[in-house]
Formats: sequence, structure tokens, C-alpha cells
Amino acid sequence: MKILVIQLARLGDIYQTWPTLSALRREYENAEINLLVRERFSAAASNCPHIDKLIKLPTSEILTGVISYSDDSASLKKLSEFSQLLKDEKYDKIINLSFSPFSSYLVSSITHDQESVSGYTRFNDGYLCIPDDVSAYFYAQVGVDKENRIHLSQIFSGVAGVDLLPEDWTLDFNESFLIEARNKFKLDKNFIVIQVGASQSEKTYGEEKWSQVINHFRKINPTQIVLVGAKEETELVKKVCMLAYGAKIVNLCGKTNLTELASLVKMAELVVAGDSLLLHIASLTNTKTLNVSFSSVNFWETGPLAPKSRIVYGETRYDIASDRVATEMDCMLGDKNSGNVIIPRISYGPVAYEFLDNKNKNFSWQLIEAIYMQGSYPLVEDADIAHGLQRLNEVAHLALQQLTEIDFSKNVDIQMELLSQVDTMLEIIPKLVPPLRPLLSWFQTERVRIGPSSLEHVLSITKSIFMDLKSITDLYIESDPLSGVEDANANVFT
Amino acid sequence: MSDKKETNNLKESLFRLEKAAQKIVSTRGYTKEVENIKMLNELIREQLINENISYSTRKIR
Repeated sequence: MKILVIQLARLGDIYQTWPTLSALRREYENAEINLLVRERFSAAASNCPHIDKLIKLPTSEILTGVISYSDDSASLKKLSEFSQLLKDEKYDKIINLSFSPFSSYLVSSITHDQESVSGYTRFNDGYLCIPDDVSAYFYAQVGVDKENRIHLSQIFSGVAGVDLLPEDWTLDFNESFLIEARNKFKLDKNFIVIQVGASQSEKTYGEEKWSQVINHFRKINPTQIVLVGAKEETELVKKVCMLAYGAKIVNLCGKTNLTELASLVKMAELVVAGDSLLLHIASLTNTKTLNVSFSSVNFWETGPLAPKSRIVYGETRYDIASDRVATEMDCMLGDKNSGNVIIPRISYGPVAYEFLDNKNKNFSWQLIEAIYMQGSYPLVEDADIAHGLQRLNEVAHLALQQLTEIDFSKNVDIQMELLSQVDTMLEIIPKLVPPLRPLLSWFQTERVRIGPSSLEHVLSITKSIFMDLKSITDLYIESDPLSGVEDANANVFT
Repeated sequence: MSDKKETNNLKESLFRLEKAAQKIVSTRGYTKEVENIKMLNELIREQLINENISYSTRKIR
């Protein structure tokens, strides 16, 4: 059996794919597992023990024609040759973990049998095809501005159709390599690794804040601090060192390759970082991590997974005091509680963290749990949400009426006009009532998933999706004799 | 070649490829050739943002 896993995102996502690759290896012991990544980020997979072959997407080579000579045909030819090479491999299973348009076209072009694909691909008319429910979940619910709380590692494994075990988070080094690295970088027996930068400026805590953290920390704990980062972050880290002058800092920013960086994380007592590559390496090396996180990222999706990890969360960087971070670092080194509000990592499971304040278990997330995970539909305590559900119910009812009456042998202008108004309402309602967005995202995604087919078939599936929407909203309509929903959820108003 | 020039070439190519794909679709429908053009188009689009360290990848759907 030959399996191709496609991960065309960046370094962090490649490391977050490792557990899935490990589980695939366990599930398909004798399979040949190939991993396709972008050439530029391939270092994150170069020493992955779970794959048989690492394939690099030669982006630069493909784009040379376009970039250097404005020659589209040369680039088209290179791309076509590359996809043909993959197609010739005749993979039995293709798992696309990239969730990007390019990857969907690539999968479509190399597929022999649609049944063997999970993850985004394309229908034969070129429209996006989302064959599996987990990818549909990603399409509908995952992203910074959404309410998803399922960790990305678990979403990847879901798309691949494998279950993860704690031992799937593994990144090992031989002892002599670690000793060599420790000596090369003149490290103490105990040290903390901090990454002050991140791939996006809004994900970073800022150089002044980090220097304040270090200055606070040095007053309460003598542990050596190692600053790491990409070459692009050199100036930022220099500034931190300058502002924290006198602290016990080893500046290794831009001085380590990825394997050395991972070895430092493996040896560290603690990793401290924003939403960055380091978190994902630390999850694999099981190095406890303090994640400084803001609303610009969704920690539920990409936060640290190593046991005993914690998240210090604020809406913005200005909401997190630097002394609080320093105190948390000190407490984590001693396995103590700081008494401050933190978000603890609780498991490797789908929902990896727990808000200490249960009030934060909000309506939208409960709605997601109900739609996708057979949870109970949440109670409505907000008049806007109640009104939004009422409108949705009416809109679904109207759509079902029109879809039932539609007869293409006659003039259908009126029905089409009404259905167009239904679509407008379905766009407006989640804007007016944001907590209902997960429901509408699920609904619209299910419509996107309808493939090219006969008009009757498309109408029939569309009707069935509207019926599902109506059934859900019926739960919230107090006296709807037609709801047909019989369970304890029938009256969910408080 | 400067980054700006490269970026411009990529953007111009995006425009040309989109036009080419539209033309083929309107005359011959969605063909293998269109699929390849669309694929290159998306690769260019992602190149303009993905491999730039300042942006994240998962924003793309």
C-alpha cells in the first residue's frame, strides 16, 4: 500500500503533522508512507522517523519561468511534470492536510480513484470537493475568528482517519548529539528556551514586554535563559538582550539549524513562547511549555500539548503583565501553582485545554459540539440569539416550501427570486447574531459539498440540508407542532 | 532580480492565467489544461503570501 500525505503549510503545521504520521505508521505498518511538503520548509520533516520518503514541492523551480522571464508556459510545463510524477506513483491513499486551493487542485490532478482521497480536492467541474466530514468541519469552523476548540493535531488525524495515542508525540535524539549541542552552545544543566518572535507581528508579545519578563524573572530565579529565533528576528532579539542587560542570557537567535533548535527544546526545563514553531516542537519533545497567547491566535487549535503546559491569555499583549509571565515561569520550573488565572493543558485529546472559568464555555462552542459531536443543544439566554433562531427557522421553512413547489417545466421566476432572498437572509443573520455563525457555517459548508449532479438530485440534497437546518432551529421554537423533534431538548429556552 | 520585480511578475502572471483559464472554460469547458492553469494560479497566489514569513498559511481555504 502506498500513502501520500500532503502538508504544504509551514514549519509549525509540519511538526503538528508528526503525530498523525506516527499513527498512520502504526495503522498501516507495511505501507510506504510519502510526505509532500514545500521545499522551503522541508527541514521540519527531514528527520521524521514515520515516513519512507520526503517529497519536496519544487516551488522555486516551477515558478522560475513566471518570475524570471514572464514565461507562463515554462511554469505550466514544470508543474504538469511534477504532478504527473506524483500521479505515476499510483497512491492507494491520498491524505491532504493542507486545506488550500493549490493542494486541492494538485490532489485532483494526481488522483486515480476519488474514493482514496481525504482532504480537499476538486470535483470534475473544478469546484472545491470536501469528501470527508473532518475536512468539512475544518472548512466550516476552524480559524482565528471562529469558535473551534479542537486542536489542529487532532483535526489532522481525523482527516487521515487514525486515532492518536500519547506516544505519537515523540521526537527523539541520541544522547551524544544532545551533549554536543549543550557543549557547543555553552549551556547550563538547567535552562529555559524563549522564542520572542513569531511568524506574525500580532502573535508576538513585543521586545519591551519580553525584556521586562526576563528582568522580573532574573530577580526570582537564577535559571539560564536561551533566546532563539529565525535569522529575521535577530534585531528583535538583540534589542531584548540590550533591554535586559545583565541577565543570564545566551542569544542563539539565527545561530541554530532546525535540528539543533529541536535538541535545545528537548533539553530545556521549560519553553516559553507565543504562537510559534517552538510550541509544536516542544509538544513532540514533551517539554513543558508556557504559551503567551492573545486573541489574534486561537490557542485551542495550536497551543502547547506537552504535559504540565500552561497558557497565559490576554485579549492583547497589553492585557498580560510581564511580572505575571515571569512568576508563571518560576512556578512552572518548581511545579507550583501561581494562583493566577491560567489555562491549563489537560490532555492530548481533541479539546486540550480547560478554562478555569466555566462561564467561558460559550454558546457557539456548545452549538458546535451539538452539531458535530452529538452534544446537547445549548440553552438560549440571549434575546438576540432567540430572535436569530426564529428568523432562521422561518427562512428554512420558506426555502423548503419553494424547493418543494419548484417545477422546472413551468415558470420558476417567483421561486428563484424567493430562494435568492433566502440566501441573502442566510448571509445577514450570522452577521447580526454572531453566536449563530457555527450553525450557518455548517449549513453553508454542507451546500458547498454538493457535487455536480442532475438538477433533481441537487434539489433533493439541498432540501435535505434545509430540513436539517429547520430541525435544529425547531428545537428552539417553543410551540411548533411540526417540529417532529422529540427529546428533552425540545424546549431549550430558559 | 528585486523582490518587487518578482512580485510584479507573479501578479501579472496571475492576471494572464486567469484570463487564459476563463477563455478556455468559455469555449471548451473545464479541461485538464484549465485544471493545470488553475493549479499554477493558486501556487502563485500562495507564493505571494505563504512563503512570506510575515503571513500565516492557514488563512487560505
